[in-house]
Amino acid sequence: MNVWKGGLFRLMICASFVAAIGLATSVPRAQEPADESWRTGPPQPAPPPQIMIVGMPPTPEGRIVPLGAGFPAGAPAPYAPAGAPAPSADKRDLSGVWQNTNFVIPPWTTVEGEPLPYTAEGQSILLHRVDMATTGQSVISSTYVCRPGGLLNDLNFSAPIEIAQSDDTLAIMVEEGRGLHTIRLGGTHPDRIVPTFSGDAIGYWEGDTLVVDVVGFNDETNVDWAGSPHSDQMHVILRMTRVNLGGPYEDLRVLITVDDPVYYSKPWSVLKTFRWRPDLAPSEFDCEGGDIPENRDGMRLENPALITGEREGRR
Amino acid sequence: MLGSQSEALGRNDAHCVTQRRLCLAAAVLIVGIGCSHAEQIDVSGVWLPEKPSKEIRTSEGELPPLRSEFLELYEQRLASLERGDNSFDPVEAKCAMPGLTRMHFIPYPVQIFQNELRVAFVYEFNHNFRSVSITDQQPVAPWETAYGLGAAQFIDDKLVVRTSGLIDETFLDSMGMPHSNALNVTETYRLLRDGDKLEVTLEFSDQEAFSSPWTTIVTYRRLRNYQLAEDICLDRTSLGGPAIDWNN
Repeated sequence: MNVWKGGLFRLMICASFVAAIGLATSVPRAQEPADESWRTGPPQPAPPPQIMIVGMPPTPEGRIVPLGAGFPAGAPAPYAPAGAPAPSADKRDLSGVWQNTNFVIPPWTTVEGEPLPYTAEGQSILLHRVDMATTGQSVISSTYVCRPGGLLNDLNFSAPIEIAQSDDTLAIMVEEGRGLHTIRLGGTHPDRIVPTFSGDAIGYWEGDTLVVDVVGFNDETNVDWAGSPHSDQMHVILRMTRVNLGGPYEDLRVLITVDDPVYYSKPWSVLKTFRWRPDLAPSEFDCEGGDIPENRDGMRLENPALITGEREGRR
Repeated sequence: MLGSQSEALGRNDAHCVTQRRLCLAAAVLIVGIGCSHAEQIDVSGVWLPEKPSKEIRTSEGELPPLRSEFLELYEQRLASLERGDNSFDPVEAKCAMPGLTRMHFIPYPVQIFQNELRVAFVYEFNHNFRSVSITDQQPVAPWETAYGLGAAQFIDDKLVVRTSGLIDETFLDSMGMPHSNALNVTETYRLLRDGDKLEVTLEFSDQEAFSSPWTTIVTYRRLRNYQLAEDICLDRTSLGGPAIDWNN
């Protein structure tokens, strides 16, 4: 499956659907689940959108903003159908199905609404990739060859994600690219880490915020869909918190902070907000099963290691 | 009865009798609840198949009751494997998803999570995962996929997962055991050996491929202090290795 087309298609469907259901004047409150109709019922509309003025930072939280900060915001992301069960009463239980409201296609902007602080080398790589894409010769990234998209890309996709949680592990399952991230709760990073697509992730609680510390990435994935690079020195911290933003159900706020001294001159942060959607579930994504070479017609493979598997630390 | 007895006793004595009877009633109630509802099974944890196998057989050790057309297909696949040709197998050829049943028999761990709403199965093999709702309403799959659409129920001390919508492009084992899109699989999970062993009874119902329903049993042992590793099947095959590493 062409991942880019898949993501954009979903976005268009989502946007059309939100437009079709119109705008609500009030936000319904969460209800006790009376029956099973919430599994298939219509999503609840969110408050009316506010038109953003170009250049106004930051990206509004909980709104569909495909073009990133500074562009007009789209419709607000819908909530789960009425009657759906609420998230666990335990604020430290993040398990369930969630949907990102901030799928962004162009290069990311920070939570302050500014461009990422690229080093000269980082900016050069991004501009090259953007140039190639605009001339119809997109540079092949990991997802085009059915490899993992990486943690940051995975937190950007608009399809539902599922979080499963036990006493010692939190797993993030991502529909697009079949992304999988397992986080050890407690403990420390080992002294020696073999670089992987997903890195080595540990988590600990600060109040009701799960702080996830990830290192040990390989450099085969990108920061964002546009192709902002990262190195194997990248250090990511996620701060995951359930928050009440005034809707019928709590949202999941994920503040992502990235420190990569190779391609960025200073640490930077972006914010992703996920709606509680127990009526949804990640669909199967069998990239390998449906892959054909024609999916990459006209594209450029600039990193042969992506398909040869000849990288440090592969199993 | 209690009233008349209380009246015949002093105030303190009557209070004690009442308390004792309430305690007795509460105890009976608690025991009754305990007897009528077994504790919900908790299968959370990392599990490894005890006896991985390339071939699936019934619990009696026999070939599943394939109808003639499907038996012919199975024999063709066996003949291909005999010639060293596994190109018919989407898993070995492309690292496609192995599918619900085949996953039970390959030598890779699975981590199971459960909460109030869902049960998730996270496989180490090639970052596959599947997840089912906990509900007594069987969902209808809009189309067929490798893991289908399932529903989980906790019944007595067992977890029962019923799945349909399973695409016929997957095999039930690594030798090419076929099935049709009409396949229904019921998995019944049961904990044994003080929770260190997981037994899964698989019931297959597929009127197109099999002449009668049949069952088989797989067992897992619990892995403690184990974190699933990142596994990229295409990296393995691109270096000339097999999709499924049976020495894993």
